[in-house]
Amino acid sequence: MNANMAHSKTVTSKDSFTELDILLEIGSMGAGHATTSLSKVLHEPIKIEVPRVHMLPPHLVPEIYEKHDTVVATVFMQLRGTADCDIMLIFEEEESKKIAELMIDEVAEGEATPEMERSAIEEMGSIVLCSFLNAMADFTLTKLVSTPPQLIIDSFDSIMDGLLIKQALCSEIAVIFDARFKRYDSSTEGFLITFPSDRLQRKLAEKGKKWLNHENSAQNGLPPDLVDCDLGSVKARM
Amino acid sequence: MPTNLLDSQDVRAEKPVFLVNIMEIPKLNTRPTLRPQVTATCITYPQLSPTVNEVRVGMAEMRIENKPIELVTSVGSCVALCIYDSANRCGGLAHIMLPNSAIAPQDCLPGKFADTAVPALAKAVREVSGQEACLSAKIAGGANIFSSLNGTGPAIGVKNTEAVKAALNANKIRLAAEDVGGSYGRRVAFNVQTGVVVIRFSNGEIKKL
Repeated sequence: MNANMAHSKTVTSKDSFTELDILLEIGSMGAGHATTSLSKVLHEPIKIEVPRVHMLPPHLVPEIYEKHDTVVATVFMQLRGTADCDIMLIFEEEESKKIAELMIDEVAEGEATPEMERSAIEEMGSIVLCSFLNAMADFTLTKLVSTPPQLIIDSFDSIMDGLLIKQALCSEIAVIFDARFKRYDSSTEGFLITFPSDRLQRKLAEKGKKWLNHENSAQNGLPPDLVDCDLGSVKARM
Repeated sequence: MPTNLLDSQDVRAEKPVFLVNIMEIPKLNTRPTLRPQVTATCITYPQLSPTVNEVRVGMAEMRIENKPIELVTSVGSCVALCIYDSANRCGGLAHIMLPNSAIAPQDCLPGKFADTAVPALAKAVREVSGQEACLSAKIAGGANIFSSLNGTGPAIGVKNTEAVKAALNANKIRLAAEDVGGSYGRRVAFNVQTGVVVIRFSNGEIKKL
């Protein structure tokens, strides 16, 4: 990481309680579900790192991953409607081939064709990303509709830059939620990277806040209906 | 008492400090097979393939060099703009993200937008060469990687490419070569001494501009 990364910020759960913390919490829960489903698909234990939220100018994003020219297989999905959001599941090419082999071995005999591999990776990505979205949607009682998955195999930086251009068009600061995980016997990690739009962040924060207030009021013995969601204080701190 | 010993004139007079630039000492590979072979008359070094130092240019960044190095960047929908001064054998590379700086705040990075990057890079290359420059440009990138991202109208990669070409025209810089469009990323390596641009695709194919 270079010197001009100094003004970027990485949010961990120790920072003060903000909209981003709610995003981090909801995202972590989704990432947990996603990892579980990946583990179920592959019949293998999966290790997951504590997810993070980054806030930084879009053009500095490639620096935090430092993958640059590594060829990766990316399953890309986009949320449609009011909650615009780009979601990607990224594995290095070699790792994705191994995952595809594991999946194909269960159902077919003999050598897997490249088409079968592509289809298996796309399917795996779809399962993992959908369980991520499902967990988030269930928790916040929102409707999240996604596009069909698209598989892209290319170098990491060139895949990221299309999405970063989109971020740069919207705002000076990109908010990224990322979770990293590994198969038990593998040395390379996979990424689940999400670019939530402002609107989706607000929506999730609102739902999360409501839920938290509900919890607090239950502890104080107040009926939940009497407690209104106070978003003003959250916005003031942003 | 001086805080730093080197600030004292006396110390400096007694013990001259020899500054050696470590970067200039040729690095020897420590593997035993590549050690210099000592013969009776002279020391011969094994032939290593000539490698050029690579310097990575990040997104929205701009870099100008006159040393024999390669400027490297990876582009998808962005455009890599290489401006080469054939008279003085130096050049610069800019990684352009967006076509128009109209949306940007006042103190934006010049390398981020096509309309600001072209004049800024040309000016910087002229400053480095210091004399009458003979500029030419090569561009690569402007791909459309996410087919599902596009709404109506041309993709952002196409817009970027067109904006760079328009800016080159406006600044009267000749476009010597281009490799744009498609749906795949490119790794661009620009040798600032020879002006050769080598493009590598993710499937291993190589193309020279």
